[in-house]
Amino acid sequence: MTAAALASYLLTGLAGASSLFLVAAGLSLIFGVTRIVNFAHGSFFMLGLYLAATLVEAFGRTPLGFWGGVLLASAAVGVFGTIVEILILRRLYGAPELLQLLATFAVVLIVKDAALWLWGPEDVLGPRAPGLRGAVVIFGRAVPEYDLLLIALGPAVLGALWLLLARTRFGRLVRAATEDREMASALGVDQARLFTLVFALGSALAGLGGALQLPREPASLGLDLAIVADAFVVVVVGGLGSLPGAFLAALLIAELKALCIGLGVSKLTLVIEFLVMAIVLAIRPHGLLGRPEAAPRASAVDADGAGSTPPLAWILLGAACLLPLVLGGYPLVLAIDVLILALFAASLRWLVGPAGLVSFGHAAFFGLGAYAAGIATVKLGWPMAASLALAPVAAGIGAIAFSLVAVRLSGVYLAMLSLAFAQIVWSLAFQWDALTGGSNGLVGVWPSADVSGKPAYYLLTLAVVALAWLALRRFERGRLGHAIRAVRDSPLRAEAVGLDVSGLRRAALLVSGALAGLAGGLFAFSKGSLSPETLSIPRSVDGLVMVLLGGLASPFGPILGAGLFTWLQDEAARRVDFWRALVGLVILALVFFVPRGLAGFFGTHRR
Amino acid sequence: MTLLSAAGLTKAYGGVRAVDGVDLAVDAGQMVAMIGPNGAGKSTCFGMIGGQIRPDAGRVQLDGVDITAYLPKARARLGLGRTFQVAQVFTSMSVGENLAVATRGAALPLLLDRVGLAGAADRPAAALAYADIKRLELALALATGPRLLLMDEPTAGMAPAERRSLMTLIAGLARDDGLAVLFTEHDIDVVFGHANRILVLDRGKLIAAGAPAAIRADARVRAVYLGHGDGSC
Amino acid sequence: MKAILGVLAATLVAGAAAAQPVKLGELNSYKVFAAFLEPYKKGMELATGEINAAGGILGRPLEVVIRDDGGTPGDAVRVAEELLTREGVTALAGTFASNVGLAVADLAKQRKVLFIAAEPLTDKIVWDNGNRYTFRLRPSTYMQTAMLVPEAAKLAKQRWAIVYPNYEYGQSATAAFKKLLGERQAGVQFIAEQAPALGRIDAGAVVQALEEAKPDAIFSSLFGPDLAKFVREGNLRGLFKGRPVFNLLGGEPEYLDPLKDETPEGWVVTGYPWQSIQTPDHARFLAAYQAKFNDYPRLGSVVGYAAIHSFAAAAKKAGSLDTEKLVEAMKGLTLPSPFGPVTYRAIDHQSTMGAYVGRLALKDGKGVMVDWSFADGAGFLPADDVVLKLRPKE
Ligand SMILES: Nc1ncnc2c1ncn2[C@@H]1O[C@H](COP(=O)(O)OP(=O)(O)OP(=O)(O)O)[C@@H](O)[C@H]1O
Ligand SMILES: [Mg+2]
Repeated sequence: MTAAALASYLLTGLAGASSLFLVAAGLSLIFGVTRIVNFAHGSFFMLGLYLAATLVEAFGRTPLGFWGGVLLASAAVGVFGTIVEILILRRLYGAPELLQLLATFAVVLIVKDAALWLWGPEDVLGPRAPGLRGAVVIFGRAVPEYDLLLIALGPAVLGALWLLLARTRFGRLVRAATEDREMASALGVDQARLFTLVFALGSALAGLGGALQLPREPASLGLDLAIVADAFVVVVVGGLGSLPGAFLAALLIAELKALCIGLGVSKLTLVIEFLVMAIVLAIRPHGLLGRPEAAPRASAVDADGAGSTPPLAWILLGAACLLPLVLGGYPLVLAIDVLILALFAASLRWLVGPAGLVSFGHAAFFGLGAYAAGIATVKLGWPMAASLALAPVAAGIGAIAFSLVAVRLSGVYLAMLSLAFAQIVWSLAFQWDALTGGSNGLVGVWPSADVSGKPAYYLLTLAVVALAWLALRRFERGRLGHAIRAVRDSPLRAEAVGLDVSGLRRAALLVSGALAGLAGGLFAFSKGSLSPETLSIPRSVDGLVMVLLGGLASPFGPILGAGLFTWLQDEAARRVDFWRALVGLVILALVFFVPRGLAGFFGTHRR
Repeated sequence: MTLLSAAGLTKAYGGVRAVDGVDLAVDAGQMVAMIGPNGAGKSTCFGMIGGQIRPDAGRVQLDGVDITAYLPKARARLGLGRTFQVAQVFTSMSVGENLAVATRGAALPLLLDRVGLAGAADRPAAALAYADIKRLELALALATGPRLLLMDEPTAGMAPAERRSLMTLIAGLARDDGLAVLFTEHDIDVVFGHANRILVLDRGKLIAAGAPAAIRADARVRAVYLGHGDGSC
Repeated sequence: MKAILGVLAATLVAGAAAAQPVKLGELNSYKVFAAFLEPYKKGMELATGEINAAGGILGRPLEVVIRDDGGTPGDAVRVAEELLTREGVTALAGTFASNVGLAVADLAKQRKVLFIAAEPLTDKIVWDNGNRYTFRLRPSTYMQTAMLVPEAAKLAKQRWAIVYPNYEYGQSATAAFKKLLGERQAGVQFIAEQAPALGRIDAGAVVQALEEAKPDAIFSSLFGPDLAKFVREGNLRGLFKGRPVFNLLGGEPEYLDPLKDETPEGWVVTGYPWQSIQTPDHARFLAAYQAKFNDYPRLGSVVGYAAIHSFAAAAKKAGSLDTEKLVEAMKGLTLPSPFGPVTYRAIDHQSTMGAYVGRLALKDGKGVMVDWSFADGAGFLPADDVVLKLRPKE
């Protein structure tokens, strides 16, 4: 590559960095002050882009029409964000942090369907910016004028935000709240107002980021999750709450992407940002410019009821065994799904609840199990029992590998590292055609003849899941389980009484990963096929949704959560056109009215 | 017999030297108080002795073993127990479960009785009053059977009568079991009522060390305390 | 529209003397690939109406039970099970993405049920992973690529650059293009390859990288948002100046229409020039579609329409709804379609549906295909002995 070519790639990378920073800045602000992991940030970006396309068409393709449209779109998204904050999030600040995450995920679902309803399924390609429709020659290569504007805008927005934070009362409050929430509230800051303002500003920035992409990309319905993943990565690599950090991270990632493309290894762009995140977190557990997180606010986490497994559980288990006699056909198919997802959710609930290790990438272990079983069956010709046994082993090995870096991290950083891990595994599965079948995945992973009938496979699944669930429950309430919970409650105290904090965290991950892998293995055989989707972000998110719907407090939560989620998706998708929005609304209703999850609601545990 | 000795302990945060070349020693059976105004560096000192904070310089020895590079869990196994300024207990568990995590079959009721939590084994830790949480924390620190006990403000948040009984209990442990105790305390009465020796820290530096009577008479100590105008110290 | 359907249904039911409907289970990723599949659904609706107006299937009305498959193989298999067990459908049809299509095809094999894979383009569904019960309607990635190759070879350009979305479809298109052009044109070189992630193209850098390679011509299999971004950046940076560009699927209204006045003129594409196809088959379809929906058809409309008619034709030929008989009937089944007659080959269950190959042009600020010709799918498949080697023995 010549020097001029290199310089030119870097210039292209700069424009990408500005775009990335603009989305990430809002997310960083919102997280810094409110500690909300806002999944809906990508949806705000998407709305900004759609709105800008509509407004600019309406105002006319004049400079005034264009810039007026862009700014108005940004402002409108700001207003929308404010409404979301006031109507939904404000009511949840006292609630466990994960519940807010669930609520923002519901917003994602609703916004997605609203956009489909408003703008239709076809991509909307907006006009180019008037006056900036051409290119100029730099380093002997054509560079779009609009890129130059973007390159200037990123630092300009960073500067403006810095001034706002450094020079205004609002800014001082934001900084105070970012650095020390308790302190800020002690200083008599009107938290509700501050949060609303920050949310408004953050979402307006997301909207601006979207609107500014108008000349560069069409508005399309898949943007939300893609963008929010990018933004998360930038914010975490930069260090949570640090705007200069976010800028640096955006720069690093965008330039690396441009270089990958320039060097002809464009396939790496699939995963490069997650590789960067994993490496940065391994070296700097708080991101490039982040500070150690203040100790998480002591949330009164529930203890599991100390009593023995309630008789109800045994009755249910007995009833479940008899199910095939009563139900045939499809309900049995659904029941198999529910059982498998219940095990997946139970492994995640154990990790997020008692072990206190939040994972956004739990699908990694599910998928590793599924792939291990699939590869053993299809490529190696192993019998089913052996393949199924391999699933938890492979996932467990994955969990140990993950834990090598993960035990040093906590909170959101850990959650994001798990996301990076899952994405890296995903990209391996996606690219390694010879072993994994690439994007197509593997087919022909059917169970052996003796359990190939639905009732038989159901009973097998029931037996495996019930045993795994009981074993997990025993483990959780045993000596090691208590020690792991002790580490969650107070790592300081745990170490001071001689517990091996890292080792216990590793054990917690191992148990959780292996069980998720077992669920993945059962899944592969129940579907006869698997693809990289078993490792994908949406599957991880589904897991979290099930866990939270069911409630963290009780080991019965995951069963109820998986049941409700499966039933909801199945019924809604069949009966309603805009079923995603409906699922979103139901999740919101549950968050508000059953915040402790279904298990809490039904009171299967003390308190 | 010297159980704990530290030499040249130093820790800086940014430009601030939170602890600056502190030497100290605690004998078995002795109760040593470390006092000093807010921000003097007491908790940082404890952190370096307990293993929670890695010193920039200096060494820590426990019973002749250099434990400077040891993790807290290793120090605990060598007989170091501690409490924290902000009490650290396992909030999601009952009192009994808390202790079960920390001990390996030690006699629970005895331990609870000792710290004044008799009969509370089934109470959830989250439901305890702050003073009781401090007691539970002390029980947790004692549950591992330590030879050296570090206590960072053990009586904060307690009523005067409670303070006295708690400190009497600790003094008993030191006397009867030969436990070495190093504690910080803002309550001057507690300090002078129970300490065999007193270390005075100011802005990271040890400015005085000695028997209570000598410290009471030390001009620099008086200056520091009067200078800070903090009568409660 | 609902009302019309209702009336239609009522008359039909009366006509068929309240016979039990024949159920066809259709599953597709309606939410994930909405741009293609909403017109597709309309096409199915049109075909269902026609079939029922003509007396239904074996004297019974046809009911297409439509389900969203969630866009993932796992969900799709569950939905297919639901269609089979709860709805009791006679056969399955639909799916869009390759991985979903392959998963459902394998389920069809396992459960021994007819599956008409309407849309998935992957070559594997009829070749490497082909099975007795699965038939595919659309011309595959291989076929459509092959349709572009003669045009590409005519140019006699030596240095080609390739850009494709990094998953099965783009990978197969690229492999097929390299192989087929290499066979026709000695000494052709593929000097640069860019494989951005689907939907996530970094268009600026990709265009620049292609430009740096100074190719004589470009082959792309991008579509959707990736294509729009690529076109914009390429125009801005002058990548397309003096360089022929070939773009698979680029003439499909689903992907062409959003480009509006930025449609890159002169690109050679496969697609569907619905405005200018004059055959009677198509004219009838177009008129009926526009009358029913007051909208013009997209390619998806044609695929959905032909898929439903395929099932009806198979049932008619079989004279039965028995799966094995339906499968035998599908083999070699010929039926009319808006693109002319289509035959499901007995040898590999691939239909001979064709596609239109032409150039993009701008007309009244919109993209259209001009100078097009129809490429009959039958002419763009490998020789029979090659196909037999690709396909597992039954
Ligand atoms: N993690 C840290 N980062 C930066 N500065 C710190 C940190 N921990 C302590 N300090 C600073 O070091 C100094 C000593 O703090 P330390 O907590 O040891 O004091 P202390 O004597 O225990 O005070 P107090 O009586 O209030 O508990 C203080 O100036 C404090 O602000
Ligand atoms: Mg202190």
